[in-house]
Amino acid sequence: MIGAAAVVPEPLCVLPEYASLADPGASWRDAAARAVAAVCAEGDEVVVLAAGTPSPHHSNAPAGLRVAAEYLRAAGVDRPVEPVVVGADATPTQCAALGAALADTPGRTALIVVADGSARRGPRAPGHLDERSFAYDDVWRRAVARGDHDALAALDAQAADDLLAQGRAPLQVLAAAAALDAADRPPPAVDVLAEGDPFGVAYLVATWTWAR
Amino acid sequence: MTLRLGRHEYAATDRLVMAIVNRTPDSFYDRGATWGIEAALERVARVVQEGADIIDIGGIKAAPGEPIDAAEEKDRVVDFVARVREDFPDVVISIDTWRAEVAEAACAAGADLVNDAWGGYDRELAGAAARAGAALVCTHTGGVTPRTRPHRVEYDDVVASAIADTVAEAERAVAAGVARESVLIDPAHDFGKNTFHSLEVTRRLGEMTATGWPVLVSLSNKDFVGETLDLPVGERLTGTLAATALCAWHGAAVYRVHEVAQTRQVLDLVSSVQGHRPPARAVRGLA
Repeated sequence: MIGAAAVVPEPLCVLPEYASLADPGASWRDAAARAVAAVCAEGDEVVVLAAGTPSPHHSNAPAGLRVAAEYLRAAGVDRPVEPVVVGADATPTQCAALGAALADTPGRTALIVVADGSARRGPRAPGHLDERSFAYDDVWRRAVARGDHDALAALDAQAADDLLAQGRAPLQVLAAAAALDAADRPPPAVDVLAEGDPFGVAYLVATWTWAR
Repeated sequence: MTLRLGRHEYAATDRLVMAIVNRTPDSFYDRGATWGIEAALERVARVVQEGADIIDIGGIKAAPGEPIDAAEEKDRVVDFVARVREDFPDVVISIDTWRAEVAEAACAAGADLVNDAWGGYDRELAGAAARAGAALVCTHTGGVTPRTRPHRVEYDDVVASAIADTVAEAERAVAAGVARESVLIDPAHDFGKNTFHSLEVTRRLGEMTATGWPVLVSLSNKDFVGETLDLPVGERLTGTLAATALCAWHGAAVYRVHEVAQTRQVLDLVSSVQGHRPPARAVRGLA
């Protein structure tokens, strides 16, 4: 079962290979590092879940896995992690199957979910402004803040795609993983560490922790 | 002779300034300064006087924004091209468009060069340039849709990708009938690229010029300059000129710019350092 989960964003500017003189992602790295440290302390094993998008241009590991590795490094967590990649275009059904499989473990798994929201939240955003962003992001961020896995499972894949919200699939994997044991235990304690959209992309740093 | 634009021929060591003239109300730098016909014509006269070799006329800003269809784009640029052709018979006129339909109409009105910033998105564009006897710029965007910004784009090797794509498009243009000496390639700073990509393209621009195709660079006041120096639009000229000098040193042929006089000075100085252009007036120690 899932013992704890962290939702962390995917700004590539936190990566050492994209370091600037300033550190524009510093506050997000700090918050995400606290979140991953907290959930790793709750898990017997650590799974990192990120969205993958095939690219004809490079063979790098999915950026979300690299971002998560940076958060773990910043947190001083030096443990083996199992990387899991879900296609950014995976259907909700595929996400549900993957989430159920991830949660079907005897011990307590710490799940680090690299996921964020619309990249179209303003004229300077990567995808410019799409007013639908605010409603979409309200839904998923409120769902995470309330520990509401059903609301995450119901996210609209088409809307997410339209809004460049690459975190939709990982969030739906999380929803299914959380749902697996939901009938047998109280809902998780939720801690929201940070929320914002500094670069026109909706970020959230939060943890879900189930009592032992 | 390595480059022919309209009825002008240029040597490999020539450094050409392409002045941006936006027929838009909303471009990022001038914010509609040349939206009015008279203001646009005044700018053309000024940049020609400042030494511009090419006037690049565009009707759609590159960034996301209000959708502009082909008819509206033509309304903005075609008559203006004809007017510039009439008033400035010697200047090379470039039409900044990704649409074949717009390019065709602009070339019929007098444009000599089709500047496609969006990497051959419209597969009919090269054929349109060929039919008009126009030159063509082949740009690297990584295959993105026009008027989109990069979001988490990565490359194994951005320069290799830029060379492979632009050279393939250049050969395709020649196969479609564009004169070989009238095809340029452009790594397209900031298009489908983050700042690190644009810096690497600048650092390794010599690999692009080594292909033998004339290289156009569009650096002017772009975000990679702004992000590198932490400066907003409006305070990026010095950084732009520094990047311009480096690209000139690496052999780029054409520079698409907002500030013509300053760019001309930088290009002249680099050409003189390289030994391609004598100093304007050297008397020191020579009296």
